[in-house]
Amino acid sequence: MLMTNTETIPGMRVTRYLGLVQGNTIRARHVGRDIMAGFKAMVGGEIKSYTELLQQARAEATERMQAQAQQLGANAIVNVRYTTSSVMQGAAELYAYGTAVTVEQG
Amino acid sequence: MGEAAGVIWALLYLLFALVFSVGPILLFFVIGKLVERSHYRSLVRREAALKHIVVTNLKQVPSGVTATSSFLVTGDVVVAPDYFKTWWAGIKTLIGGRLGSLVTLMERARRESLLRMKEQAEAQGARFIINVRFETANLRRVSGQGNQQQGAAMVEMLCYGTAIKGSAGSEP
Repeated sequence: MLMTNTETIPGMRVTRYLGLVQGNTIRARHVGRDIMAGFKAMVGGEIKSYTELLQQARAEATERMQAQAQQLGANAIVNVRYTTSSVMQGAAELYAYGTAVTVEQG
Repeated sequence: MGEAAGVIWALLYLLFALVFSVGPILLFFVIGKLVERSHYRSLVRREAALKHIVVTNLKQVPSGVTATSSFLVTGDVVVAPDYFKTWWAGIKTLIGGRLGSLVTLMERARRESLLRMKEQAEAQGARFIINVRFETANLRRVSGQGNQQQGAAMVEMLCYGTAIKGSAGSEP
């Protein structure tokens, strides 16, 4: 499944627009991880365990979006956008959306 | 004699109080500075290595480039201010003004996420990234319901764009 965040896919030609597809996931952090991250946060800088957690969550949201696009018979998604929001303390929602299309070489 | 001992005890008490109140702040100030400096060094080194990848936030493919294929690339990082920066920010919000210590933190996060995106493009052999967007999200911490922890939010910095594989007619 091809993905871009532009309206077209450079190097390809869009033949059909199939509509909006989306995928989301909400992840909570577990306590052990959070305590360790708390210590890491005192030192400052990157909190690696959270970066990994959000990467996994984003991959999951993207997979769901791709599954939806596949159901529509698309082979690409254009204009992909990502948003993150903290729905409550200790949980983050990751949301991916885009337009499912079919593309051809050329 | 008794008075001298009293003064010494008072001084010791003061020293003790000072070490335990200012000590951690000073300690994390030094640690935070060291971490920041080593991060900046790593940023400069990696940025120099990936200088050949052209990044724009335009929607169009740069003129003179013929794209053969394209794909989405992302880079993200979660950062938190250190203990000193949080403490300083708490004081600074009373006075107002520029929060320089947090400016550098956000700058580091943005450069790091951009670099990670470029590394992804490089790994797949792309030379251009177009339509780059930055996204920030506030992540509040679970622990510490008190006021002191409220300010110390973590920030996620996401950077994404469309990587382009293709031949450049004229090298920029």
